[in-house]
Amino acid sequence: MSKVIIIRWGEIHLKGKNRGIFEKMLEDNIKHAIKDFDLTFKKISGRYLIKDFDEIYTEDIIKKLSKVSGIHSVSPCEVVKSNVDDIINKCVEIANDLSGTFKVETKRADKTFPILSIDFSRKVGGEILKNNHDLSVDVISPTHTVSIDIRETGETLIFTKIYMMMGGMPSGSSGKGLLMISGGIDSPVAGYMMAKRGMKLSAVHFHSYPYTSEYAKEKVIKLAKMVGEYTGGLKLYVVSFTKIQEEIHKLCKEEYMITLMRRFMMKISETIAKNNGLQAIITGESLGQVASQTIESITSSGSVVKIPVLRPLIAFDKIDIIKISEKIETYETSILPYEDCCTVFLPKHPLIKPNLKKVQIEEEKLNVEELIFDALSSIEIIEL
Amino acid sequence: MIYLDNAATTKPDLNAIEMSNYINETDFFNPSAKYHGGLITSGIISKAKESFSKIFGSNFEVIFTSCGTESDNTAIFSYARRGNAVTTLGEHSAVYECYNALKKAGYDSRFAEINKDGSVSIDSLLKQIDKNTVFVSVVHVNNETGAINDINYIAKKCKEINPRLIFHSDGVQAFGKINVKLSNYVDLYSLSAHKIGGLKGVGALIKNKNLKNLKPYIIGGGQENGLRSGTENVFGIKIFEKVALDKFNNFERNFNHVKNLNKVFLDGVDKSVFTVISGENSSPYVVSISARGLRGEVLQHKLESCGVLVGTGSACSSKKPHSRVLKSAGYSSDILDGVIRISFNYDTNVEDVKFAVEKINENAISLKKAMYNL
Repeated sequence: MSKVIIIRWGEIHLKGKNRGIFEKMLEDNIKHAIKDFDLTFKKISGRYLIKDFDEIYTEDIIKKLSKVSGIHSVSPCEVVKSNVDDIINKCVEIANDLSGTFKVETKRADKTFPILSIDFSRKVGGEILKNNHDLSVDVISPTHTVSIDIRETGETLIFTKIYMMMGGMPSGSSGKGLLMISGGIDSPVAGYMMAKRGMKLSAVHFHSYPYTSEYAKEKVIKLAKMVGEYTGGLKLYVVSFTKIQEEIHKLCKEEYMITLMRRFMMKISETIAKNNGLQAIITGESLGQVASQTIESITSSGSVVKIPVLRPLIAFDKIDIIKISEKIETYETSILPYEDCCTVFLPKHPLIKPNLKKVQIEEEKLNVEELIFDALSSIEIIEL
Repeated sequence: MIYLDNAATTKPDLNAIEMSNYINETDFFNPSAKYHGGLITSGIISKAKESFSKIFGSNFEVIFTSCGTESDNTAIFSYARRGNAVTTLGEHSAVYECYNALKKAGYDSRFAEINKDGSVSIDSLLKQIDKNTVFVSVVHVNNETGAINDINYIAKKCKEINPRLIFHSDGVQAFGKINVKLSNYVDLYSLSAHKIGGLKGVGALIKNKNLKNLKPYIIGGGQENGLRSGTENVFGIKIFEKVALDKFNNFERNFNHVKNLNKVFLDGVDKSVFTVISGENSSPYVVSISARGLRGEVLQHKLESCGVLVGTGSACSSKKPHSRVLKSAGYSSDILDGVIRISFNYDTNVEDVKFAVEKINENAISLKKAMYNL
């Protein structure tokens, strides 16, 4: 018979009466993710099933599913009629490609199936052993598990692989946030982390042309698009930051550059968030990683906004952030060597522990409202 | 728009394209085809080869390739896998990275030092050469500074030490711009079409007819006498022939014109802001200058907004390494940060150069004011 892909969901099963809402969201997100493939998508008890697809696209479909938050795992399965011989033959055929240790697991939703689960597993295992001498049995920690799922529909699903997916909650189930994306390694990871928890994302980027190149902006667009794949697309707000940087550079003490920049970025982000129904700002800050991410600096930048600022990486080591960025495939793009706006006019000795009062005194030298107004009126919006 | 990045690429010669368009319309046949059409297109290639023989003399023959980089790779990997191979620190990456790859593979790759203007230190080069040297590659015109290496003289000197070595030169920035009369000491010479008004995707390897055992880098159907397989880009080759002949026939006129542009430019550049990196004996087509303490890329963007396109010799970012060549030439990082490269074409207008130099001065000064609160 044919192949199908089973999709198992994650945390949703912990939900109570409102579970249906989450299921619906997940279902819609999955359908959106695989909309370009010709296939049938179906809900079965506690799981989803994809069938009637061209087998050559199996990996591609799984790749798409790997970007849908709320899915726990998927397995490509063989489908056979629920009779003893067909199941055994298929299991033997699949196991022919395996080597090492294995076990057989049977689930019998169809209680009319004539052999008990445990007995059937043993029987299939015996047949596999007879046909493949590269395999031996290990029921505790086998290299491979041949899973047999005898369903009430008269069909049996057989699979050996479980691909772990994103987990988390369906996108859209946890509100909407605005990701401050810089072009570095951390911010795309921060976006991914929030997307995993079901937050819909928009993103804001500050660029400083001509001090930064168009390549830097293109890189951010690429990264934002990659993050957007986890939230069914996103809107990127690109803000020109040149004037603000020039003014700070001209009027304020050199060491306050980054501290003041961060405050401007926060305020501008808050306005964008409010104007677009976004409920939180998300940053890639990690405590103590750089001068602008000490607790004092975070206090200084956080104090200018009322909206929640979510910092999913706050307690992560760089090495762990890099691991995630490699997993979500943003790392290679993040390390492309284009200047981002944080490194222009970089002071030799940025403030590590800014004093809020002194920061405010420096800030008063600037026409903050007018600068923010100008920056906001220059916004370019890119749908990704 | 004033385009002064002609060392990166030149605007294709529309006249040559139009005159060659019949190859796309009627004579589109595969040159290897055995019917009449194939004979016509293979004839177009033969004629192009004759034209290149006219330019380089009958001691040399041409192998058409896809680009200068392919020509360099073909030459180097064909011979440099024995003994030791010598090149300079002033090479384009197309040569430099081949030598690096050989070094990584365990071969003896040697790099000669360069002078401040980017030309090779001949003493350093000759010291690296010994009886085991099989291959020497020296760029004719450096792509960043325009420094000219006297390859005929250098090839002769190299062969005095070891007559059996093979001498190659990357002539991508020289051909069609400066005098490229090759002596018999030069064995191989790389060209690229798009640097002189041809199309991207076409290059050539000029080969001394005395040279034996050149191995193809791309094998297959045996085109180009088995030295470069793959269906020939007849259209691109035809245009390359036309622009090459045009540059050859108008060499003096173009050279004097560009020399004048170069003088106008260098006279106009504000020396209190800029350091001139290109030496006096460089190709007039390329000028490298540095706005000390500024970032070349930022100045490049500023100029772009004034309608002037220039190249950068180095990166603007602290994360990106400086120009390898200029670093080897011994410049400090405040100079390396601020490098921009201006490169002319034969048809660059003197008024445009005057406007550009004005904008270059103006923007560098205003940027300096902004960056340093002057």
